[in-house]
Amino acid sequence: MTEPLHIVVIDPNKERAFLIVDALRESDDYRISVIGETTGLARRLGEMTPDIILVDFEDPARDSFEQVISALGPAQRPVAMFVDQTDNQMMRAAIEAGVSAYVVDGLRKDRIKPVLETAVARFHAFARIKAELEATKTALAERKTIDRAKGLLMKSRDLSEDDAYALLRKTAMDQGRRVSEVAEALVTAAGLLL
Amino acid sequence: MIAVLNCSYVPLVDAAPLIVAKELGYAEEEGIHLNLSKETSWSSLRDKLMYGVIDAAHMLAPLAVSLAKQGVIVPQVLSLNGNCFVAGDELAAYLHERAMRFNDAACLGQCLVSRGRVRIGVPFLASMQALLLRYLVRKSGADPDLVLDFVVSPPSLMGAKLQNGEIECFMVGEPWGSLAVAQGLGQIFLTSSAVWQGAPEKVLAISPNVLNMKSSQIFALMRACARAGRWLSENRDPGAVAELLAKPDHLDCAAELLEHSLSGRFILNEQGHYGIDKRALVFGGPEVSFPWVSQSAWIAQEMQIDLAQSHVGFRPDLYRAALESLGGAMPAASSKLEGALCHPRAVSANKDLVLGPDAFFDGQIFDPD
Repeated sequence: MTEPLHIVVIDPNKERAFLIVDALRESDDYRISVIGETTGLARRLGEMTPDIILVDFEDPARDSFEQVISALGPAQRPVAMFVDQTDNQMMRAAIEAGVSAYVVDGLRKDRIKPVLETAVARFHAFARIKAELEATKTALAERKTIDRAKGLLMKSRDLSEDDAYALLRKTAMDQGRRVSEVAEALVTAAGLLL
Repeated sequence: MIAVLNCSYVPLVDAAPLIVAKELGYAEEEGIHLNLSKETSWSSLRDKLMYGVIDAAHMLAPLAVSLAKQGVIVPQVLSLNGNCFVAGDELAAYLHERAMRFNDAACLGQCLVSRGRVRIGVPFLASMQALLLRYLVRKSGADPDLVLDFVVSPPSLMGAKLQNGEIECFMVGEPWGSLAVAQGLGQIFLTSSAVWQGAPEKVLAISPNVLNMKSSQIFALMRACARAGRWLSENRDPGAVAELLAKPDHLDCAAELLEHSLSGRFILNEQGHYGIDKRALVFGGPEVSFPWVSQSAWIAQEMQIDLAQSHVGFRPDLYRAALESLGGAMPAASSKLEGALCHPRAVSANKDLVLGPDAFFDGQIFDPD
């Protein structure tokens, strides 16, 4: 039985980090730590002796993390992965998903691969959830604006709710715009005029 | 069908040759569709290049040299110089007390040494910023490891780190120095040309496998960048260039901030004092973009990388092959004495070619042989 791999996830985005933790925790092969707050990163990493460090590829502070990681003692110094160390296809998938990995020298490919695959899947899942959330938020905001625009029309032109909406929709169609855009313009104009 | 080349850059003023190559249509004229994307960190840019996600990149010259062993190729230099040294209030007062004038590198070197230990922000360790600072301290008579505590930070956070005391000063590419001044967080004391007037700053780096598969497209990109560099060096209107670079697709910032390095006229502090340095950031044709083997040898020596000649990565042969058809001047040699020119001087070439000054602050000459 080999020692469990110690995987450290550096990610200020706690929810995403925990998605990875949950997925890997089921196996006895891994021990997982999450670092969300990056002050004192050097000391904390030094105590942890990680085998694999996972970092958000898009984090602007990634260069700082890399300096800290490469300054760890020689025995426990994970390095950025390069072509000769791993399979190119997998790394491209990781980069596209937004995962970057630092791995201790000499760690076998077959032990790295499942960890990366899991991280990639979880990053994708997280991105999807986030996109859905954004879409819902936008839809809610648009709905609110449309309701306000309807209210304005009902009041100033003495229309029923259905007629107010019909007017908005007709104007949008005539101008080749979205109903929410017309509603937004109306609300803005009303704000300026009243 | 027109060939697509994917190329990444870090949003800095010196990414201008790539942005201009695309925006002014040079890339299209050379027969490629240049697909530009921005990266948030040098590590990410490097990884994308190494794994073939992108074909080419705007890269720190020392980072490219450090990757030469892994096959990264540098066929062209994109810019010379271009970094600003910015000090926070406390260090600024110390420098003023010692009568530090703008771009007096010898004085800055003495001050850093006498200060003892200095926490200094740089964007990356394998960078010209770090190498020039180490050179400055060493030639001022001290061990750089004992004087300089490098703190690697994204340029966007340098101002905040000055403010909270995590660093006392920093050296980064523009517009980040000018931004710190505009926000009242620090003062510019020096541009990196004061340490070395001819430092290769950003290079065009090509991923290991791309050259074989797409050499004609890479050559087209090089011609487009060379033409863009020439246009930038001949342009008399920094404001217009600044507007182009500042667009949301590119640097996405206030255009005024970009004008300082493009015009060589820097605002140094909140009092509005000016510093003029026409070599602060240099673009151009072969006098700038020729990849001298001696430049990479200097970098390799400073980084203590033992690179066999064939591993150095800078490839004048590719530069000649790609740019021959443009019909411009081309140096006869591939290597030169770095630091030998205090003034512009004509050199041996097929046509008139004048190299700009490339002196080091201490007058030393680096002989690659």
